[in-house]
Amino acid sequence: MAITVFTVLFVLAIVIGFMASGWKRSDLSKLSEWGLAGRRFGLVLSWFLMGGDLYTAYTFIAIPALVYGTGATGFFGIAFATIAFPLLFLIFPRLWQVAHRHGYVTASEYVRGRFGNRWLALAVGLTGILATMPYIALQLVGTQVVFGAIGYVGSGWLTYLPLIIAFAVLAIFSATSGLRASAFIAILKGVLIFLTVIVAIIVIPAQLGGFSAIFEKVPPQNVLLVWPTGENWGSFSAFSTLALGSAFALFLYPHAVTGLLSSASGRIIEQNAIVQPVFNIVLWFLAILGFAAVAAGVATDPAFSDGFKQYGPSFALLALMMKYFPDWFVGVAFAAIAIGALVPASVMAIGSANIITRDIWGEFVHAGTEESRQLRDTSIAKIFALLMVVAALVFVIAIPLQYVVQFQLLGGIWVVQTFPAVALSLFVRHWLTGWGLFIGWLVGLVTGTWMVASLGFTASVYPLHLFGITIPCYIAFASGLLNLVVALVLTPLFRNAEAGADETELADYAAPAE
Amino acid sequence: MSVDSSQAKTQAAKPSHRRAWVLIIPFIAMVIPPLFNYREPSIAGLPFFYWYLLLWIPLTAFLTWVAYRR
Repeated sequence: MAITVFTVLFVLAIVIGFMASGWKRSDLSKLSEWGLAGRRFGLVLSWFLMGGDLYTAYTFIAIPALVYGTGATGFFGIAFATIAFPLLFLIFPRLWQVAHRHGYVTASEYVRGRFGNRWLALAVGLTGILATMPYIALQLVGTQVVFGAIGYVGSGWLTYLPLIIAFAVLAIFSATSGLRASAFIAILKGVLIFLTVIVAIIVIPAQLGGFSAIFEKVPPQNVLLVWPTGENWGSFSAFSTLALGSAFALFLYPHAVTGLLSSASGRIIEQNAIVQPVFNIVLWFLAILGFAAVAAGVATDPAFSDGFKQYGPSFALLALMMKYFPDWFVGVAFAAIAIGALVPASVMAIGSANIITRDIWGEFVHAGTEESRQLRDTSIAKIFALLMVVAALVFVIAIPLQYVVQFQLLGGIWVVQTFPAVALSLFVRHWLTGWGLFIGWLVGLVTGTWMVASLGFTASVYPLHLFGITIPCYIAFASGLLNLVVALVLTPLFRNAEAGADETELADYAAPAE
Repeated sequence: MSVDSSQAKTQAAKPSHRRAWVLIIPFIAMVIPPLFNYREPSIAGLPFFYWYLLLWIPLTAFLTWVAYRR
């Protein structure tokens, strides 16, 4: 029963993906139509697209898993997701304006125009793509966990057959319909996710005897953050820097930039920043369900021992749902998660393809007339979108999960290094230079990578030792700060040489008078 | 660019979000654990830490709206 409901919903999502090309029909051979849906998404579509894009299948599984395993610290995800929107509100309308004025399709293209430095732009673009690859792979992993739990099992390589089929199809509809596919599937995803989580939060805590009963069963040291001592700021500084660093990084990922640039105006982005947080309430519910999973004792339940053996804490949410939902609703819930992977995976592939086309292939490899470039641009982008999905499939099948997770960790640290070049540059005109930023980026990247490596690639929080106090600090935060300082310090060195490199004007960043 | 580019240049200097400073509040509220790392007061068995964070979601949305209004 569950598997039938699941399959029907999943197939529906795919059909929507193919049909989406019909919305506001236009020339999908133009990159801005394929890759940004012609910059036409109003508030409702933007809300669904950004919601579906930012709250991924991996998020739905990983947040409860983190809370299940470590308790209160996992809620940094709620803090980060909530403060990210004021940041979005302040920063991104400006990027939208300047991108709209100059026809920029990617953040990297903007950087090239702003600083006249193709190497900095390449650095930004490559960073985005590298950070996205493991993120796509993790969506596939999330889907695979769901496929396995719902009953699509096989032995040997057959285990991966449903995944391969699902994502081959995703690659195809992403190539044909572009970003429209992502947006319309996001509507289905949004509806299913809200339905699932609202039912879950009503039904499951009630079954467990309410919140008092749930928290009684949680190990006491996990209920709150561990208070710091004089010598070690412990989980407090970890929580703060994780929240801040992740918030700054979130909108720098190509899939976030792509989603945002597809909006019809800067105003829409501002309005979305106000209403998007409804999704954060869903995230909070999911996090609480992590505790519910502990209280329900799913780890010791023999029905789920295989799942936990194979997937560890990632299985917690699925086990919880299987335990308390009627069979048919398990199909709905699991479909919500699996479809939850389709949207970000497609936007990630499209966003990366946009970058490769405009900032790598178009900039460094292909030369030619403007018209011939335009014609080739979108075909190239579609091929690269396909390739990104294929690469992610290969990743998931060939590389052990722990390495994919570590790569994702690194990706988050790398992507933060583009904040000064992409976001700060929207506000700061005379204190940032192209080469200063490039060197800052490099320093941040190397330092961040070194810090992760020194922890054996197992953790993202590094214990800094300052003035005799141990301060655990999110690596992205620490290395990002260093990056910024370096870039600022180097400004006087490069400022004169770069005068006049900026093709944008101050007026380009402001909204037109109303 | 068209005739209004010179007008646009002067308009760019005008602050369009006078109340944007309120947006620092959610940051302070949610990123400083000593403010909320407590069990009590709890609501229906839910420790303060958790319902505080939940409450700040609509509060942040409200403050963003405040900043949005011209």
